[in-house]
Amino acid sequence: MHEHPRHWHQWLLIMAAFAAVAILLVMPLALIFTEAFSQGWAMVQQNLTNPDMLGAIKLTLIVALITVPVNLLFGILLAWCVTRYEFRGRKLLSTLIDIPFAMSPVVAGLCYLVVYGAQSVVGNWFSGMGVQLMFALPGMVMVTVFVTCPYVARVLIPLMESQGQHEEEAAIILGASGWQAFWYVTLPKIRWALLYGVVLTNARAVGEFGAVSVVSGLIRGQTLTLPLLVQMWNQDYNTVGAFTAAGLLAAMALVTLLLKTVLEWATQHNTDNATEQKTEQDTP
Amino acid sequence: MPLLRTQHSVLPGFTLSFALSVLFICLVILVPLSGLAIHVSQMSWAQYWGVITDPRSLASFRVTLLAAAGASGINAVVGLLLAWVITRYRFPGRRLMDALVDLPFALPTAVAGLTLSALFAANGWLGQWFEAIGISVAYTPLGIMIAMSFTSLPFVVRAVQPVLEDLTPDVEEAAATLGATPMATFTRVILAQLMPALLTGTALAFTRSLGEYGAVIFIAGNMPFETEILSLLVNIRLDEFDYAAASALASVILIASLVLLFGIQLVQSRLTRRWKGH
Amino acid sequence: MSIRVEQIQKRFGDFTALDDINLDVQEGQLVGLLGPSGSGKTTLLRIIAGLEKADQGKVLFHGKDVTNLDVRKRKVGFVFQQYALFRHLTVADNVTFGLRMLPRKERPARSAIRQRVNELLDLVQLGHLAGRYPAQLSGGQKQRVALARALALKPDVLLLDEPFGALDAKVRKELRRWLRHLHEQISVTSIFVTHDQEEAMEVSDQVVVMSQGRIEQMASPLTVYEQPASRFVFDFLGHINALKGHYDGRSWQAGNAQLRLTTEGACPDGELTLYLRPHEADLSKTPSDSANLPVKLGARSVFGGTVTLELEALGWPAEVMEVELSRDAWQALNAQPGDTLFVHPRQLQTVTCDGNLGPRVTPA
Repeated sequence: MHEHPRHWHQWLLIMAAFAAVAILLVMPLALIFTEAFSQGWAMVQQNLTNPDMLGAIKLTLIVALITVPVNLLFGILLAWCVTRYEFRGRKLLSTLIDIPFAMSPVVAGLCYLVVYGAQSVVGNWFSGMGVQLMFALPGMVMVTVFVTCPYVARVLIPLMESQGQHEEEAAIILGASGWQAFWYVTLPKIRWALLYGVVLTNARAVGEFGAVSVVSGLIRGQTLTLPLLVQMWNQDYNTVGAFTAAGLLAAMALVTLLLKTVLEWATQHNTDNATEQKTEQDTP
Repeated sequence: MPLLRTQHSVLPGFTLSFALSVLFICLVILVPLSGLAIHVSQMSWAQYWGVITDPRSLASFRVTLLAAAGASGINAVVGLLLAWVITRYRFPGRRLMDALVDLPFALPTAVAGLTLSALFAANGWLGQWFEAIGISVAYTPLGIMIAMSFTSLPFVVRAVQPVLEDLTPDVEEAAATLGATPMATFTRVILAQLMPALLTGTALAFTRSLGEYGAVIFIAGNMPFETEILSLLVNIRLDEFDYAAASALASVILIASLVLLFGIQLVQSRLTRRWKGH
Repeated sequence: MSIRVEQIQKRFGDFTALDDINLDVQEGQLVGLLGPSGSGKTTLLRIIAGLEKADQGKVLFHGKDVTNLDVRKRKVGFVFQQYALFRHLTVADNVTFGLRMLPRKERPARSAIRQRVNELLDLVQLGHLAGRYPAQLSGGQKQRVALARALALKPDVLLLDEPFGALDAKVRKELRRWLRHLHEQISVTSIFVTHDQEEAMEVSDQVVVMSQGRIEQMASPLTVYEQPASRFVFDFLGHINALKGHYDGRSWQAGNAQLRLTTEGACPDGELTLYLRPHEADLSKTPSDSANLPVKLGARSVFGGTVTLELEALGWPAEVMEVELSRDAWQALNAQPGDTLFVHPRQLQTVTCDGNLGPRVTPA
């Protein structure tokens, strides 16, 4: 399908595409780093070692470190359940997982505030035990888990669907337990997709803004993640500082893009092999 | 669970994986959503209606809807262009372009908001060109539209790309043997087959734009009645501890998103069945 | 509409796909382009259609030079191997497509279009599936829709690219017969490409055997089989038993096998290769004066009224031979696997020293 463009109108389209990409994607990216370094490398270093910045980095990392494994586990469970068995409501379950994807993050934050906040049934119970959910770390983690839960499942479900379960069945017949079948047969097949899902989840967990800002309380030094710091410093007219924090996040985003591209290629490779095997199985 | 399972499977672990998945979905997704629903239902209808029809609320609906619609329109065109060029032609920089398309997905919305507002500010790299011809971008609905367009561009591109890649050249040749001009082949054969994916991608972009917060609030100016989006109004009501109003407004976004989400799924599965046969 | 192809040349990079092709197809004929992959048959078909451009040469429809005419204006109907149906359109809309592409002044009225579509769908016996989508049809049904779609514009020329290649054996046979029947009803000049000999022989009025970008022979199916013009044609059609041995002027010998015959076809040093076709030999339990080819009976396979036997040469060097007998002849023979039998060729084809076909001979 790929052809070298021969006609002028094809080159025109390509130029238009480049222009769109330059304006919408490249320039915003370039501006971040330009602004961050506009007062020199020393300023950047100063900003990066600022206690608020360090606190924000630490908080962001903690949130991500909890969110990613939780969603990894859940994603695998859901994908396994939905692709390996036939049951009523299978499609429904699979659609429900997409809800966070379509929702406004602020609404998500609000929902959590309402249900798990101090004045609710659950919140009350937790405060009784001295644990504060909302406007503290637990709430921020919970909300981030909500917002990022579809990613792993969405990557795994189509892949595991197309790979079929013949190999796992063969393992069971040979005496493996369910756990062994998963660990020794399924896991190796899905590991690239899994990594890809982890990369996506991580990127989103680190960058989540709207939902976290609702439940964090924006307490300086305590409940500010990096994205929230960007907003706070911008409002303080600490523009260079805000852009430095933004630059840090943008750098992470670029690394994410790189990893994504590499893993996408590896996953495609897997899916192609799987579909080939499946077709061979289906023809007598 | 004989009532639930429709087919016997050799693989063990159904009960465990099913129970845990359902538990997770309930705790993480369903309980919070229904919590909001319950909270809203505790309001009287008059109270609810009052919040919804408050002039400031209505203004925020208008601003959000129009900007999201405009952004989705831009995305449909630009997204189709990008998908077309990336899939059909070979040129230096193609792979880079393909990877960059995902930037809005990877970049935190606050970062996007910050840089877009600086880019399109009156003295910004691009903003100055717009100012020169008398158009203000920052602090206007146009700025909101651009921010929304940025964050949901990948939806359209990634929805259209696989369908474009699936198109075989022999179908276009068939159209040619039947006398179709290149334009007719594009509209009647190619675009017609792309339309569902294009619509799905645009609908997803629209849904995302409706709820977009971080990218918008930096560039919007957030003036009530003019450039205040719905998500921001919800947050403002929350800061005022007016949980009732916030919930009422949030419920509007929620219902709209859910309806759109399920609608898209339905259309997608129906067309897949019809065109792919399974 | 007669088709004439003159001195067509086509190269893809270093690879010569077509080398000096000259072809004459008469109006109303159904011609099969037969050959192995790489023989250039599909390329030739696509050049005739206008989907490819030749490097040199001319294509003429009814005397008119269409070489540089765009495919859209050639009025050809083309049926693709993978059907190329518009999957977003129903069967009826697929068939209507060509009619809707006509410029306004040439387009018939909507009722006329509908009538034509119904006619065509009835012709291909798919009237009851008019509202279905391609994904809901079987392979054979899809191909028939493709055919109806190609015929909608009443083309002067119908071109089919391995039309039955993607279908399974039984459907293929049915469609083959059906295509032949269709051609008798609508005698539009048709050319189809295939690598399946049986198909070419069964369906075509004329067979064009191609190899490596050249036309080896163009003749009726019977002629091509009985009077092959070249070694390639002979090799390509049907199974060959190759008998290599030595000729001393009176008889051919190899090991303890012997055939008495008279021929000029041997090499100067006496080497002589003979080709024997499976159905041109008899088997018996005793040799004769003119033929002594002892063999051991191996596997046998029965298909319809013919029995194909695998025979291993006894005491003389030859690859496993295949002989076909009618059912009756086989039963009369009353042989078991492992029995020793003798082959009696009725006719043999000599192969000259430089690898071409020599004269035919009969052992006597």
